[in-house]
Amino acid sequence: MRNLIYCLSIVILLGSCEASIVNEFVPNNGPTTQSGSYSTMLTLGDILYLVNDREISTFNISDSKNPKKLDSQTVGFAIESLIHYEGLLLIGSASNMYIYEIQSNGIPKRKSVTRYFGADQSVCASDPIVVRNQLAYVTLSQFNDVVNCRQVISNELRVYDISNLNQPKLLTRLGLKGPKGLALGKNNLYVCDGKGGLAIIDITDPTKPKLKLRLEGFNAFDAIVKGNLLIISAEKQLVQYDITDENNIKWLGKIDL
Amino acid sequence: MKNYSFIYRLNQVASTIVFLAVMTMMTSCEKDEIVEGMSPIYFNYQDYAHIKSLPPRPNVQLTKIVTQGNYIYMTDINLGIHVINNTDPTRPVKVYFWNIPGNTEFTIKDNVLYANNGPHLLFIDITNPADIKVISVIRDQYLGSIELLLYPKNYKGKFECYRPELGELGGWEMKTLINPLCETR
Repeated sequence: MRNLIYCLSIVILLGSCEASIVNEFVPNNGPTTQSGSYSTMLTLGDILYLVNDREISTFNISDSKNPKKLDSQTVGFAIESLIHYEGLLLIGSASNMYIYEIQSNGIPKRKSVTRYFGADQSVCASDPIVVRNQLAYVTLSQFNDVVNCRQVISNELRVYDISNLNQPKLLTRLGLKGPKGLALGKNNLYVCDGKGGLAIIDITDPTKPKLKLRLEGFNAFDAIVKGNLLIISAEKQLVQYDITDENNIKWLGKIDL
Repeated sequence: MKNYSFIYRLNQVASTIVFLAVMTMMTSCEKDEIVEGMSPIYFNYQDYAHIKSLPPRPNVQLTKIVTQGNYIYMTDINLGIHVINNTDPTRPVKVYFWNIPGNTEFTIKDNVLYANNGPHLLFIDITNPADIKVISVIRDQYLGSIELLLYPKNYKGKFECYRPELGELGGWEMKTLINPLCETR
């Protein structure tokens, strides 16, 4: 009986390894919560992290009736996105990507600031980020809402090597139409390319993204990959695809209005 | 619109006011201007009864998206959150609209929804998604939305100016306006 239990445990552990690799990039929001790349809050156990325009705040949420703010720090300005990756928090802002490491007390500590456009902080772009295997994929697109920024004509995907937290390294850039949210599939990166619909980018070689296919007809803003499902928020519609076969993704349907 | 400089803010308010003054003078002999535009929603933040679950409604401008279990949740910017039962992804069904004026950001963990209503962070019990309840509030977490004090975010057009003497600003809604004095460009 005991041997049977050991055998079963080993089988289950082996079986679950593959699942955990696929889900490696999923923010650890508990067993099933996943957010799009424009998310600005996330939970990790009993801690809630939140970014507003300028700061990152840390809350203990173990008692919902009495949440406690543990920390608040200035990050920069025009902050847009927050994600978690293996004990790190990556924060996207109009000019920079910030990497913070979560300390044992749950409070983040800044490790680096990567400037998208060099020292000139007056140039801005909209920039959600996803990470897998020490590579950060960042979309940059024209940032219309910021009046203090010079508008930059930059519509691209950038790949940064973040294995050295203190000094991320830009590896490559790929021009797109107006990229916004993005989500990682197995070998595809799904980029919401605004009026360009959905740009499907091959990342079989993770450092060499290649535009494979573009699906048009909607104004894609943000996306989530949940197992074999690609879920897209597209202005007035919710659009979904079956991505079991990443070379032949299937339209499932949409809700509009 | 986002901006990061108080001086820019002053300049912008000043130029809006100049524009208004000129327009008012120029149009004072003409007919009433009746136009669709944004109007402030006023309420007392101590009473969260307006944060509630409503029947599904049309999408206006979908932005942030979250999924938990078989449900998809999407922010309709400044209005609230659509709740979609996605048990069958070929037939997703909108089941509720959670009315949260001023909402722009959120996440969910189990039975708690963390969402802003303009400047404040709300903790909302969604154990019964048909009857959501505010559990606690942490005020002033979104100071960047100071512009909510002046004009609706992500909106270009005419609006009814927010008047602090009428109450706390909880968000904006589209309405038919008569001679609106404010405008964002």
